[in-house]
Amino acid sequence: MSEILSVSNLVKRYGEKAALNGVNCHFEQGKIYGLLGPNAAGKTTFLKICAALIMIYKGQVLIDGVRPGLATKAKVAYLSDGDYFLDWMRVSDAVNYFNDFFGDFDKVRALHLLHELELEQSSPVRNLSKGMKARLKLAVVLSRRARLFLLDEAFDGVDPVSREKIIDIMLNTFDQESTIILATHHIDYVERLLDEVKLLHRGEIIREIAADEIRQNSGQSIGEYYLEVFRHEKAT
Amino acid sequence: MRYNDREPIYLQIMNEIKAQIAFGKLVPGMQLPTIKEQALIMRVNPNTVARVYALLEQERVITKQKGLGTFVSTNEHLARELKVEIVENLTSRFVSEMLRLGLGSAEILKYLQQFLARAKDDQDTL
Amino acid sequence: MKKLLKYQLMNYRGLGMQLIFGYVLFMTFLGWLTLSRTDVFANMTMLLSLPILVGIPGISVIHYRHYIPMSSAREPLLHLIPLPYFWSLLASLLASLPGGAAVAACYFMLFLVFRHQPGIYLFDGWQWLMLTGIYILAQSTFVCQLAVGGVLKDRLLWPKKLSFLRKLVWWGADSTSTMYAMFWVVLVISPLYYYTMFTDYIPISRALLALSVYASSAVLFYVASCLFEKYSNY
Repeated sequence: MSEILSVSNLVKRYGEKAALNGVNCHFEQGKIYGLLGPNAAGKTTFLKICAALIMIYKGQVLIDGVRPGLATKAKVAYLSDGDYFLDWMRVSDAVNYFNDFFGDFDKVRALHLLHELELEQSSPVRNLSKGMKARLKLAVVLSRRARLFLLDEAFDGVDPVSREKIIDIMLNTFDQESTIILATHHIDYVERLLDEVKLLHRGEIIREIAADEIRQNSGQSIGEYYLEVFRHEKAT
Repeated sequence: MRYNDREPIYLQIMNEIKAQIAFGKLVPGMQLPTIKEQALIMRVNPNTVARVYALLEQERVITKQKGLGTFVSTNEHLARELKVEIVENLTSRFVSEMLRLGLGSAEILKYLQQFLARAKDDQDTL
Repeated sequence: MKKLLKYQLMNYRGLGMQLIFGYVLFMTFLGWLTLSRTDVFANMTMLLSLPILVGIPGISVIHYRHYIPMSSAREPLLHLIPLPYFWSLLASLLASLPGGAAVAACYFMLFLVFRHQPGIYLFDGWQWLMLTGIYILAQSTFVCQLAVGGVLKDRLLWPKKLSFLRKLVWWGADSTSTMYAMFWVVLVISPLYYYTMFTDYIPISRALLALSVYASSAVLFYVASCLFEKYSNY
């Protein structure tokens, strides 16, 4: 199993506050990871650094041996929380934009997904409901054959039907050459998707463990394990 | 398939596939879905399915034929063997629970016979 | 690069642009109405055409909004595509030119219609060159300010006493920077505008002034693109 993302001593400060306080972890290719933690644990900051949105930090981050920057943008797919597309875009514009700028974009697959997800090509993105926007984001981002997928709160505000469809797309996208990192606090939605979880608390990784290991060792679901760990953290 | 998130998923899937073979839903020689197809059907991580297939292959329950796919073993005794395995597991769990509650062997047998008699009556009246 | 330009031009389809053009056309119409109905005094045309110019910063903000942190959080796509920032900035600049030209046309139209007024004259070639240069310079200072602000805002640890300075830098990098726009307008844009429009005497040669304006813009854009490339902080 080769390593796709390696992080050593990652520190990111905003003024005096440290959003990330010495993160050390590795991600292998061909796996689905859950990056779990409460709000303001640093999940979004971590993903943004890997996505090369934030380039000021201390420590080392390597994607296939290269620092995040222009070269990695071509093989990293980042999905942010909230709005994502340009406000003048229609659904067809979003597809064409990705097609024009990302060499690993599979337009045929994207169009097929749009059809399956009942997204109209001519709809303006700003008129879509939250659930439809989430479907569009995922349809487009997951139509890239990227090496690394960084999905930040892919399920926030998404209705159950959209959610199931999104999970189907994720399962379909997955292959041995790529890695998916899901940052979410909706652990119950992703219980069966995750190979491994990494728990992030106050800017540090406090646990790294395989999903089935949690179940085998303590007879807990990932969600229960998470609660136990964080209750303990709060107490100390 | 319904999952219990507190037990290893791969074990649950393995047991499910074994049960399907034991009770005739999957027959010897039948082709199984590919790992990816199975992952989509069962809505789990493909790596989990890969692990299941690898372990089942180790146990000679399924065989992988290069270029052709994955198939249920053509062992004609397989269904019976698996059935025995499953039934023994169920029985062991049932007996352990009853013993844990404090019942003795004679009591366990009595309850079992009563239950089975009632079940037979219900079936006769249908 | 052509593709970037294509998408940048699509901003004209957006709500923001429509509002700005609506505003500009309205102010032009209002100006014309006022001038044709009232007794005109000297330089009234100039006065009434000033509100039209407000359209200019509006257009700039729309084309460069991705570099404003608050806006970029909502529209991060430009930062995710694998193209150098140099090309993105260039595309933004080129895409903003038609908008600027449209505003200038409205501005100029009032002048044209009311050119018989005392003190009103039509612009010569050099003035058009300078006005375009000032438009570009205004954008380059804005973008460079955003780039520098982005680099500085979290890096420097200010002592408590100077925390107001930190807030100032943060605000310069984060907001649509109305206050900063005013700063640059006062320091750089207004004097240049004055020398272009209102006086025959300028301390250096006209050619040199025009060259400095364009050269400064090029340098500022280049610096901004380098800073974004190496030190994005979104």
